[in-house]
Parts: sequence; structure tokens; C-alpha cells
Amino acid sequence: MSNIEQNIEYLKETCRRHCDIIETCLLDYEKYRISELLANTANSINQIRLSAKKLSVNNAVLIADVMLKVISLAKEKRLDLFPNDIDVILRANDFYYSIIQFSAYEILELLNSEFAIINEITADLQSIAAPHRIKKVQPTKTKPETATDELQSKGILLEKFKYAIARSVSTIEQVLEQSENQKEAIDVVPISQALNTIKGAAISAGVSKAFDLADAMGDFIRFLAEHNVPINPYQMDLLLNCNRLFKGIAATSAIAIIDKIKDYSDYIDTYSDFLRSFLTEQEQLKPTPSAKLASDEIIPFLSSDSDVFSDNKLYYFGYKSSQLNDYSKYNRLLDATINIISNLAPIANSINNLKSLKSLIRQIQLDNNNILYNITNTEALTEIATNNAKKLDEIISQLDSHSTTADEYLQNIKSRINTIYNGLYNFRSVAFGDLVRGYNELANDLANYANKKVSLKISGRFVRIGSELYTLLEILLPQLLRDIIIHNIEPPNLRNEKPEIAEISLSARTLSGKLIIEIIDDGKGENASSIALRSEGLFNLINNNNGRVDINSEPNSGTKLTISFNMNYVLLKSLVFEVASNLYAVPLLNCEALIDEKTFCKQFHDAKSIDMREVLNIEAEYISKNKPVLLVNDFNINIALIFDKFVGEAELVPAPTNKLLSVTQFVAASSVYNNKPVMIIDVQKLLNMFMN
Amino acid sequence: MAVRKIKYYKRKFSDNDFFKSDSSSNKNFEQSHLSSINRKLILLPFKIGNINFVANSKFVEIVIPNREKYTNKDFPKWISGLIAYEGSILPIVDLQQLGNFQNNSENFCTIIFNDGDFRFGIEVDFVRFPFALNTSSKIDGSLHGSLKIQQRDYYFLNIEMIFELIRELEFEQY
Repeated sequence: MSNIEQNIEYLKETCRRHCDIIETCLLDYEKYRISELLANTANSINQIRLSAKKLSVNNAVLIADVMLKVISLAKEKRLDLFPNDIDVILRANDFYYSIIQFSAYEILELLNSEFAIINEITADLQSIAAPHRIKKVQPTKTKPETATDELQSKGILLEKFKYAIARSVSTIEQVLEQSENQKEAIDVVPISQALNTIKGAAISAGVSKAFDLADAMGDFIRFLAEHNVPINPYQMDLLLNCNRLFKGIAATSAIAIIDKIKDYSDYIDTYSDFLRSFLTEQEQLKPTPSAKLASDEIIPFLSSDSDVFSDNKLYYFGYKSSQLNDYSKYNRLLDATINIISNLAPIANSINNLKSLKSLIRQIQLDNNNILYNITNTEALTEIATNNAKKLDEIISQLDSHSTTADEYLQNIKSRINTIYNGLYNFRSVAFGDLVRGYNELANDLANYANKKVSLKISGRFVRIGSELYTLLEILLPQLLRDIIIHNIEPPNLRNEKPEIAEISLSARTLSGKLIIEIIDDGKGENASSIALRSEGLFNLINNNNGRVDINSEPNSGTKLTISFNMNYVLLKSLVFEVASNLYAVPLLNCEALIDEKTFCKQFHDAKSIDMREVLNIEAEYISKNKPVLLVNDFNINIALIFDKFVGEAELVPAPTNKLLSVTQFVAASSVYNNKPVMIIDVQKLLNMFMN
Repeated sequence: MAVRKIKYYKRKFSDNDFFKSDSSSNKNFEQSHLSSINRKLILLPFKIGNINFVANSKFVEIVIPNREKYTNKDFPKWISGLIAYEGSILPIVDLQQLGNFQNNSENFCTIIFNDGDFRFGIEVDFVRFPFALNTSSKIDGSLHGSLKIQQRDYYFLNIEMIFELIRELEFEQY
């Protein structure tokens, strides 16, 4: 091992020891006071400093130096440490903790390259040890530690509470997610342990609200375990939201934590009430649709990094449903789901009937055994045989009726599921064309109002927009259009060399997960900053929704506004096939069955088939293997599509089609699969083409 | 151990970076005072079959090994197919069809051109090192003008003209 490596190992070791010391001090706070805690760390930080000096990594030495200064001042009780300062010290500590996770060479690189973070930490530490905060040594120590000390101890307790939350939240989350993904019962022991940690810390920090919530969560989970009740998605959501609430609390600094809990108190109350209500009324374990909708208004989506509470966005099951518009769509989906469930109930009944049939058959088997034993008594035999024949007839007729009803229900469920899928697709995305419908008339009206002449050109109508952006754009685009027509476009008589009718183009396109909307006009153009100033409110609206605006404008050369948003794409589950080394995909929704050519010829004599080579105008080629045949369903007629090769199943991100692709009529969209272009087939169009 | 951690982001260096032309440096070059006195074009020479071409390197985004193409008989003749690049689909322009060159070539790599709005690719045999050229040399407005550089005949490709053609296809914009 080289000298440098040894030194680094030594640095890592010292860091680890230092972290351990602080950790133990924090855990056993009752034994230590903050100054004692720091006194304990003085030695270890000195060791870090020495080892960092040996490596001549000045950055790490800087932090250690300042830390040492702070510690020595605190030791002499010449510093008032506030909860905030403790945060800073802990951050420095964290820095050392993160160092030891890297390998030897990475550490050197890290210490040299991450000077921005290091500088930040150093500056923070230096602000603690700033001259104006250092007390002069007082000769007499008559005054006992009162107010400041109390503040300190409170801060440490809160800090400890935060640690408890941070430690516990991840375990709770893990267990919940595991049980959600694997459809298992919740593992009670780790969750209640974690909740107990939070409860303990909450009591000692005097935060009764947080204690309440943890208590309610604990009671609820214990109740589930005792009664062996499986958790439903709604309850899972509730628990996850509680967990997020804790996360939100832990994300603030020690000073703000009490205010934060006060802010959240309403939510905490609602959650704990909800959780407790499950304990009292067992019927509510199965949530009714109305309960689901009601909860929509209560359950907020919390993210730990920002204050989402302020803008009152409401989410449910990950879908935003704050807009009135979405409620109707949501209700429709809910209706379809309820329909499925109501269809399932009769099936369950028929399954019960089948069970009784099974017992009947058992009876017949027993009778048969009797026949075997009493083979000598012919009279009894004939009696049993006739009885059995009657029973069998009964069973057969019952089975017939059940199978037909079950078939009906299954068909029904299938169509409902299709409705839900289509509903979800439309729910999650909207065509840009739908959004801008009527904009031409709007532009004309606005132009008439302002005595101007304008023609609006809209392109990219096929681009699908995530529904989270729909309402925003519905507000935004007409306003922007109005601003442009009123302020940017000159009256016809002032448009010197330009055509009398001003041209505004509004286009939408997608680019690697982004929606880009461009509004270009040929008006007078002006300084970009003055446009930004005029439309400040609208631009703020865009910025607040994680969007970006680029203004490109110069006097006399028109204005180009580029607005971009991040967008959630629609994933299309499809089967991918190959024809003449080109890839084609068929949405799974349209697929009925995938079989090979031989089976197809045997089983479906009269089914129609479409050879994709013929449709695509490619010469037939001898392929020795059995070709894959995809049965697609349309109006209850099965039609077979014959491809060259089945490639696999994929979730594709459809990109809009264009002039080049539209030469093939039935190609709905293009996408990328395994770094190759793949064309998504519009089955309906293909079948229509074939039928005609 | 402490739960909170500081995240460090380290930039990974990928092989592709070697190929990517640095468009910002081109911009700097054009904007520097030197260029205003003595305007120079950086040209990327490449060869298809036995014909040498040069193209303005400011449009070149990257040179990649050939990819599998999606082909369709109904496409215009000068589009030899579509490839997938960075999650989007780009057309490949067939220079031989576009410029009526009679040639036998074995294409090994694809040059991706980018004008900020659209992208397309041209399949070529190989590319050479770029070189600078004074704009005083005569370059005409047709699709390809001939140039003689270091006693070698080159066709100067008018990439902007090809972009005009691509724009008409209403491709998903880059």
C-alpha cells in the first residue's frame, strides 16, 4: 500500500471515529450537554485535521480548522449555540460521513473538486465563530445557564426528533412499498418499531401532534395485523401520505419544525381521524366510491423538497384532480370500475354454484362406490343408476347455463377494461388540436376588436399534451395571443412593407420529454426585456409550473416566444414484429392471440388473414420457419395479421407521425425500440383498408 | 450512522463526447475579432465511394457508426430510410440519389447534421480531419459546387438546401 493510500485510509478511519462519537453523543443526549458533546469531538476533529494535512488537501483542513475553532470556543462557553448552529455543525459532520463512503482515489478527487460545497460549509461554520458572537470571558460565573441553555436543549431534542423521523420514515416506506408491490400483508414489527421511535422522540421534544399521528398509524397497523385484514390501496395511500407528512416535517430546520407542525396540524388531525375511523367502523375497510371522492379533497400530495401546501394542488393516486374538468373524466373511469366489480359479483356467485355442483359430483362418486360394493343387488343398482343419470343431467344443464353467463360477464368485463384503458389514455393526454379549437375565431375577434388584421396558423395539432398541462395552457394561450395581437401587431396602415394581414404561427412539438410551444409573429418586435416586463404575470405562471420561456425579439423583426414544459409521456404497451427487417408494433389493446401459422391453419379455417408483406408491397420471401400470426379483434371478427418474426413485448413512447411516415396509411405513430425505429400500426385503419 | 448524506455529482465521461463537435467553440470562433477580419469556414471532408465531399462543420452534430434503417418503398427516392438517434427518428438522405452521383460505396458511418431545428443523417464511407478554408474561395448557391483543395477535387455540399428539403417533410422538429 502506498504512502498516500495509507494516509487516506487513516483519514477515513478518523472520519469514521469522529462520526461515531457525534452519533453516540446525540443518541445519549441526556448524558451530555452540547458543550460536552463538542468537547468529545475536539480530539477526533484534530485527528482529521492532521490526517488531512498529511494528504495536503487544503479544503478538508479548512473545515477541520474552523470546526476546531468553534469547538474550542464552545468548550470555553464563549459561544451561544442555537439550534441552527447545531444544524451547521451536523452538516459538517455529514460531510465527513459522506467522505468515508468513497474509495481512496475518489476521496482525493472529491476533496479537490467539490470545493464549492466545502467552501459553503466553511463559511457557515465561520459565521458561527464570527467575532461578534464570541463572548468575552467573564471573570465571574455567577449566572447559571438559563434561557439560552433551555433553547439549546430544546433544539437538540428537536434535532433528535428529526433524526428519529428520518431514521424511521425510510423503513416505513420500504415496508409499505414492499407490501404494495408484492401484495403481501404488512410486516408489522419494523413499522411499529419505527413508529415507536418517532413517538418516543416526539414525547421528549413535546410535539404532541406528531405523537398523535404516529400513535394513530401504529394503532391502525396493529389492528390490521390482529384482525388479519388485507390492506386496500386507499388505506395504503393514506399511510404513505402520513409518511410523507413526517418526511415534510423532517425536511425543515430545527427552528422551523414547530411552526411546520402547526401548519400541518389540520392535515395531521384529518389523517389521524381517518385512520382511527377505520378502527371504529369496520364497514369502512371497504371504501365506497363516495368516500374515495370525498378523500380527494382532503389528501394532499406532499413532496419533501417544496411547500406544496401553499398552492393547494390536490392529487389522488398520483393523478391530479384539482380541476373540475377532470372530475367528470375521473367519475367516468370510476363508473367503469364499479361496473367491472358488479360484473364480477355474479361470476363469484356462479363459482359458488359450481362448488355445490362439485359436491353433487362427489355424491355421485360415492354412489358409484356403493354400486361397486353392492354389485350383487341389481334392483338397488338400477335405482341408483337412474338417480345418478338424473343428477348428471341436472349438473350438465346447470354447467351450461353457468358457462354462458360467465362468458357473457367476461365479455362485458373485457369491453369495460377497454373503456377504462381508453379513458385513462384520454385522461392523461389531450391533443393540442383539441386545446386550440376555436382559436382562429378568437384571433379574428381579438383582431377586429383592436382594428387589426391577423391570420393565425396552427401546426402540431396531433401532439398530445399531458392533462396536467391542459388547464394551464387553456388559461395561458388565449392571454398570450391577446397580448401579441394588442401589443405586438401593428395596425394595417403602419405595416409598411409587410403584408397587410399579420401572420401569427402557433405550434406545438415534443422533444425528449418536453413539450415546446412556439408563438411567432411578424409584428413590430421590441426589446425582449420590455416584453418580459409586460407579461410578467403570465411568465411567472409558466415558471411556477416548472416551465421555461425564451423570448426572441428585436425591433422590426417580429417576436418569437418559446415556452417549454416537462411532459409525462403516454406509454403504449405493444407487441413488436418484424417484416422485411423493419419493425412494426401493434398495441396490446387490439391483440387477441398470438399463434403460429400451422395452428392458425388448423384451428381457424375460415378466418380472414392479412399478410403484412402484401400490404406493405414487399415481395414474398421464402422463410422456412413457421410465421407468427397475430389475431386482432374488430367488431367480434377475428382477423389474422401475418408477420415475419415476433420480436417481443415493449412499452413504447409514441411520437407523432409526419409527412414521410404518412405515406403508409395505417401507421399511426413512430417510436424507438432497442435503438431501432418502429412504426405503430393503427389496427382499425388497417382493417378498414382491408375491408374496402 | 447518520442518515443524512450530501450528494456528490460526478460527471461521467462517455466515449461519445469524443465525437461530438463542440458547437460553442464554433460560435466563439465566428464571433472572435479574428474571424471578422479573416473569415474562415471549418469544413468536414468525407468520402462516399470515390467522390470527396466537404460540408460546413457548424452543422455537424456527431459522427456515429451506421445504424439499422427503417426502409419503405413509398418514401421519396432521396430518403434512404429512417434511423433512431437519441430517442427520436431521423431521416437518412441518400446523396447519390439527390445529386445524381453514379457511385458504388460501402457506408460505414453516419454524419448527423443539425441546424438547431431539424436533424438528418448522411451515410458516408469515412470522414477525414476538418480543415479551415477562406470564404474568398468561390462557393456557389447550388446543391454542390466543386472545389479544388490541395490538388484534390471536392464537392462542397450545401447543407442548408438539404435542410430546406427536410423542413418540407414536417418531421418532428428537434
